Amino acid sequence: MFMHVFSYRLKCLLRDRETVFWTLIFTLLLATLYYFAFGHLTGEQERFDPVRTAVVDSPAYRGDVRFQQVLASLSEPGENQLLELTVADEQQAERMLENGSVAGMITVGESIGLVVKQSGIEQSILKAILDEYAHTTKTVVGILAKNAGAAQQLISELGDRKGYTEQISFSDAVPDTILGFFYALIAMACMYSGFWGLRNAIDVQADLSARGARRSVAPIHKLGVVLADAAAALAVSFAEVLILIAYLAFVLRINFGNQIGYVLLTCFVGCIAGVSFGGFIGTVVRGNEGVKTGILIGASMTMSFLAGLMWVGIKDIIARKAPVLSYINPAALISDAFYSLYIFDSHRRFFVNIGMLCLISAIMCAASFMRLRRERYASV
Amino acid sequence: MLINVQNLVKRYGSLLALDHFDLQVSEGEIVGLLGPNGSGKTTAINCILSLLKYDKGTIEVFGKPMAPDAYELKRNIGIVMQNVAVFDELRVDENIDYFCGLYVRDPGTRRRLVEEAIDFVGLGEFRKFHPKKLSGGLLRRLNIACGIAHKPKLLILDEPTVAVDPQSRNSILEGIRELNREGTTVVYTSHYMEEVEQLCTRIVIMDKGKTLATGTNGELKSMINDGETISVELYVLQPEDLAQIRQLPHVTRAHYADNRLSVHYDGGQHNLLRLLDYLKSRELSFNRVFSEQPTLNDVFLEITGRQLRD
Amino acid sequence: MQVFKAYFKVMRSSAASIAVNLGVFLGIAVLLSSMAPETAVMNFEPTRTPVAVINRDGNGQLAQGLVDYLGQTSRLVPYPDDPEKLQDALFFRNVEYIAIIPAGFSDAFMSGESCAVQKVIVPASTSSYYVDMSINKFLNTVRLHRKYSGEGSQAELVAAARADLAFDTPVAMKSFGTATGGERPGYAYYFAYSAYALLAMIITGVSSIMIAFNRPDLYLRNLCAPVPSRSTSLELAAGHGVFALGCWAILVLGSFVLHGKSLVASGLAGLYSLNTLAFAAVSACMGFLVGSFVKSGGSQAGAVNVVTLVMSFLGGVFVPQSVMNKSVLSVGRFLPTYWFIRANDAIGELTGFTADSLRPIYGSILIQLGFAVATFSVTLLLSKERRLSHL
Repeated sequence: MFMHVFSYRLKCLLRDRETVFWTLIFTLLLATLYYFAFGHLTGEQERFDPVRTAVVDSPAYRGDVRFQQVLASLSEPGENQLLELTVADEQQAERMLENGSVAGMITVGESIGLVVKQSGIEQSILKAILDEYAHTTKTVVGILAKNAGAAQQLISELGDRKGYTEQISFSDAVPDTILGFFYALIAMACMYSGFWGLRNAIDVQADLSARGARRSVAPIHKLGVVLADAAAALAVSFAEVLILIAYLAFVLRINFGNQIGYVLLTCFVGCIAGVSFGGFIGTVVRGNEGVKTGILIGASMTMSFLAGLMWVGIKDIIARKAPVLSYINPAALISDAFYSLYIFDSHRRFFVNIGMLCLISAIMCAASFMRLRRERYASV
Repeated sequence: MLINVQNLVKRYGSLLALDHFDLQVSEGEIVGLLGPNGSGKTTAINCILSLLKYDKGTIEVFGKPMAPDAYELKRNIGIVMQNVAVFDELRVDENIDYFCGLYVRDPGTRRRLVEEAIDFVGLGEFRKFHPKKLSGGLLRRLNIACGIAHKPKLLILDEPTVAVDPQSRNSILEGIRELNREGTTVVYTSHYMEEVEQLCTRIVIMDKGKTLATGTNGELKSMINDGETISVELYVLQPEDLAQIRQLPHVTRAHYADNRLSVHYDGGQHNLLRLLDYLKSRELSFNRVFSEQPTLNDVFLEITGRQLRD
Repeated sequence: MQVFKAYFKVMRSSAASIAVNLGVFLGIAVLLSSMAPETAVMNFEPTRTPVAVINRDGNGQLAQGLVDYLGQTSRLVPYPDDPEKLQDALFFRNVEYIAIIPAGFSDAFMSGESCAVQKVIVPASTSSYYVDMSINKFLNTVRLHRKYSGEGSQAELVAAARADLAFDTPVAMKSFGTATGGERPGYAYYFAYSAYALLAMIITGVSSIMIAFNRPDLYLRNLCAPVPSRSTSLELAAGHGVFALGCWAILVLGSFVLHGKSLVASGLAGLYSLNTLAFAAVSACMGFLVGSFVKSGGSQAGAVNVVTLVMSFLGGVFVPQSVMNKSVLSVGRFLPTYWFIRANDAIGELTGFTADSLRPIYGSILIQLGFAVATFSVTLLLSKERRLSHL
């Protein structure tokens, strides 16, 4: 009996093209668009490129040999190149500044100054370089005033500045924010499993559909039907999320770390949460099918938004400002589970997420069953 | 007694949908529940099926109390719902197999039953169609096939012919008679009196949640004080002629309006002959002549003062 | 006029989804405008990178001196010494640099041993270079003083270094006639995102009408009516036009409500409105396309979402074109959204109303209109053939 209901349910769900579109095709499409739009965001936006700079050619500049040397050494091609320097007359430099081909122009007069068009990180770096030149000069002058004998050694040591930072990392993972979008997208796909759960709920209740009424008069135990339906919904949604994961991992090359077992576990638990959520809305919320569908879409989009679907930062803000919200939001739990897997070496936080997901699913299932258990309906 | 419903009361808020409703159905009958829309037919059916909560009363099916988990009783009941209850994603044969499978476990038996059901409703050439591609009549036939495939002992049909073309309707009614001949007891609700008149061995007329009358077609009609009605189209009729006609034997009422003379009788024989003889003797020329037997609508009208159809 | 009158009655059925789109857009716009700076910054402000400093050398005065100096050159965000929280902070870019001063750092430094501040960064990022510069500068200065001035205590060395590092290079801001000072103003974002809202609203509305009027029975009944079918089409087109204009007007009105002062001050309101108007025309034609090929409400919702999201993402509506992948952008050129955003960006960067600087803007607007005409004619051609083959 279970297999009979299960296999036909599977057929029904798989042939429901509209829901398959939203739960599978739509998520694949979003993944592709995210990839195209954000795929290279971190790299291109944050990677350091030498700052394009103009220096105004003036008698004072030509007279300041040491400054010329410093600029030249900063412009030397190589890993430590900070500047891409153009020497130009004032008009030319201004034009370059105006059309954006340089970030700033350096003027050498009585003192060294900087002209920029706007504030920004490149301009700040330029200022820091000029500051440093001035500071070093001041240091040298100060030291020589007290210890004139050190001049020779001091000057030679200036070129030999020490690096005082050492890069370490907490784990092998690169903290690539863009991953947050894809994790939130998977969370959305899991929450969209709710559409299957909602369909189940409607097709099993006599007061919501004629099909539900017909199945209610059949000589079969309701719990059996509910479980068989739920198993079919879970199978379909899990398969869909697996397709999404495979697409992300093998086609778009999104990094999930190399703990495939845990990734699959997260997907599975996420689908359980999604299907239970749909069932919960279908049974506990009052209203007709349209109202329930609307609530499901609204709720799952809100949850996904709070999990970082449109803006990754929101998830962290919620986690810090209203932590309770991130513990009861299944979408946030799912995306945080992926995130924890990727970034942390320990699985403590991962299992907290999985545990909370299971707990929330259990509560929603229990509430749904309580509603379904009623044997006769007030109206049909 | 296959169905025994006593003193059933069902309220929707302040609306009394079933008011101490009684229904007894014996084996082999085709019982028709006849009543206008909103008279409580479907509510009664849904209560019998344990779909609805009710406020008072007892319901027994096959001699045992009916309950949502009375699976042994449910196994022998077939139901054709008022709303078409099929899965749009499943084909015709799959839909029948699905619902049949909820009753019959053995796949071999089920295959045979599904084929029989498809033949029975004549959907053979549409077996691979999806419900959305079926016309209204064919869809109703599928709805029926899903309800009868498991060969129930008791078949309940709730307005199965709403929005069905006459051809499909006749084949549906003939099918129900066929099932009945094979031993199925049938409960049939409708607000089409013609259907109920043709089909049912016993008729229960209900209104406002109450049973108003019950009996065979003939019994019900004999309850009312009406015989045939004869109408004659004629262009001229003097009042004194009308008065004379009223004096003819068995005439209860007679009136003339819009070039039409209507004469009501309370029985008797050769009424038509006698009337025409009179008209000829007065040299009144007439066109068409109609004779009408009383209908269940007249019965309903007589009991409630309202027409069966609004 | 019957068709035109019916137009807005039929529209009521899709009013809810149009209102939702509008509501979401305005909500986001309000949110963004509350975050974006309304007044242009006319003075140079050095970037202050958010940094988390974990000082494990609690008693070292040198370490404390470094922390103080970093507090001056960057924005210190307090975080506990908890790797998990710090990783969160870096991943979500609440800090872009984590500096860990190891225990015993000050003493090691003072005795001339090799020592380093540990950093956790987004590899090779610009902001990490910037913070590196501050740390290295401070420590190198202290090193020189320790070696050559003979001044002993950590506190004295820190004070000497801080004195040296107090100088600020004068920075002049040069304005080239823009009111924005280079910072992308709030209304530029508003108009960029309005592309999404316009597409979603207008496609939904126009295609709903098309679906309703193209239902075979209704279409045939209209054909049978004693009204030339051309006038039916014209009245429908007028309806689409009025509807698209209405949507455009609401969005332009919204821009004045949210950004009125700075928008008027910039003198760019006219150009922005013109650009969005052209895009409203594009959206109406896209709606015409969708409505001609979609039959039911279910697939309509799907089609609207797919068209809107694909065009918005690939055209650079959500992610600025300047940071998008070049090959994606070259595909985006085949979408009207690309040209809308190009014009939008160009308007925002306008430095004066010279013919030279305006030409690319008008060019992009014309290309959008070209897209509109092309979409419209192709749809007309295809749907005519389809309809004839169906009847």
